[in-house]
Amino acid sequence: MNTQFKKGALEMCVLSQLVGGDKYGYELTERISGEMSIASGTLYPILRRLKEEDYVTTYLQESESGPARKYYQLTDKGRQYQTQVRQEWEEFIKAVNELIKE
Amino acid sequence: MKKMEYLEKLREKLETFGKELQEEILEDYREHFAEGEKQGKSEEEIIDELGNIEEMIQEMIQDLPESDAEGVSWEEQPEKSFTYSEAFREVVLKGGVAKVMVSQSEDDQLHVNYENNGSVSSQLKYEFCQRQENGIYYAEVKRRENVEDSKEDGDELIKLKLFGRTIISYGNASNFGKENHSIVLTVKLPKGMPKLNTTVSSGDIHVSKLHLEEYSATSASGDINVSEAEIGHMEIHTASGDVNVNDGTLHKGKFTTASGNINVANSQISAGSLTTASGNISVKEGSTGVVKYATASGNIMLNTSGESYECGTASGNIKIKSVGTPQKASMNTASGNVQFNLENATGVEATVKTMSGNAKVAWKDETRITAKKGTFRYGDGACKVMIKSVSGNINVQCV
Repeated sequence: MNTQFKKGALEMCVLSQLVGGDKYGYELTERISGEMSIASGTLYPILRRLKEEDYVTTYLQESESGPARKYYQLTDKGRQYQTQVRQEWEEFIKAVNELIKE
Repeated sequence: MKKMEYLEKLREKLETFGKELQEEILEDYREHFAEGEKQGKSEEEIIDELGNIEEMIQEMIQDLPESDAEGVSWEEQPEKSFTYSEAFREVVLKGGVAKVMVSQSEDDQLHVNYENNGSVSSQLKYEFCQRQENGIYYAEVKRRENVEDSKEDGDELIKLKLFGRTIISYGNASNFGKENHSIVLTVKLPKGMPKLNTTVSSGDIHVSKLHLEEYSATSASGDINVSEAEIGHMEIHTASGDVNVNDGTLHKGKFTTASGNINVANSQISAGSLTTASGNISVKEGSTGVVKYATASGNIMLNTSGESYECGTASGNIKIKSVGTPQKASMNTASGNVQFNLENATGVEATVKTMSGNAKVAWKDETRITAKKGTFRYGDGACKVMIKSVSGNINVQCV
């Protein structure tokens, strides 16, 4: 798959995963790699970039066992962006479906 | 490869990104290991899950060069077909760059076929849309909204955008114009369809073997070709595209072009007007009723049996060869020359007037007159001719 394309899609998946509530890195990557075959490691740079663009913020929270977890939380900006990107995605998919089906 | 080894390799690879970033990503990976181990996974399993470090590094390199899109494979169904049995009262086709072909259906159904056999760029750029509204069928070959042209280092690219960023960029957009005819919209109209409306930009229109009450067509640079059609009212407008009508029967025709030529052959036009700015008008082998012809710099060449001619040009020449006896012929020009040949006319009453040109009138082999102005009557005087010019020459010949 085209790298840029994949990047955009993954970004949207990550953001969408956070709509329902905050998640820590491992939880997020497990969820996504459970659906598609990707190297979980590639999601960390995406998360970092989303943070840099103020779409998400992070905070640390102690877990019952083991070290603290870094949680990712959607910002208002991120929430708006997710809505917009999701709409674009759906329009795009519609166009693609239109093209590939008889 | 064990955890420590893997993390060490990661540290190495991240070195170029700076200390802060290196530590941040390493921390993410450490946390991932810790969580995985808590789930009871082995180091190998977690390493496998985290995947190739190189792949992650690629992800870190933002704004990948556009050439990255070279691996695109855009699988597209190049053809779509639709059939409708509704009785539409009008069909509206917007072809854009596509070639539009319209003919009569063999049955009572409307058949629509869209074909895009162009390159990847043409498939990326254009899409087919259709809808029905108030008994009207609309089809359109549209440019995708999220596609744009751009120029980089002199290369023309088309870009497909998603999430505000380019996901596919494709070169050789400059070749596109040459292959736009690989997009074809073919429509077969059911019998009795009264109205057709076609619009194109650079694509050509071909309409053949149709019976319509009304047909209107508009084009920018595409040619409009109508053959073997019987049309009640036909209106055509083009900018640089030509208008070609062959073997047609038009009760009323109105053609307007800017620089395109108007060519009518072997057709019957009962009434109407043919107008162009710099294009030429040519009508041959057919019959014309009461028709007006006008150009600025273009020439008018008629070779028909006509009922009434009304021609006007600024600098264009007028050359008419008419068979039979027209009722009326009036011609006006500034600097253009006028040549009017009447074949087998029963008689003529010619009024000519020129400022600085010469006027010649000849009746069979009997009389030849040269004058600046005057009215000359021969035979039964049935054809009333009125020709005026400023500097152009006038020549009326009856044989």
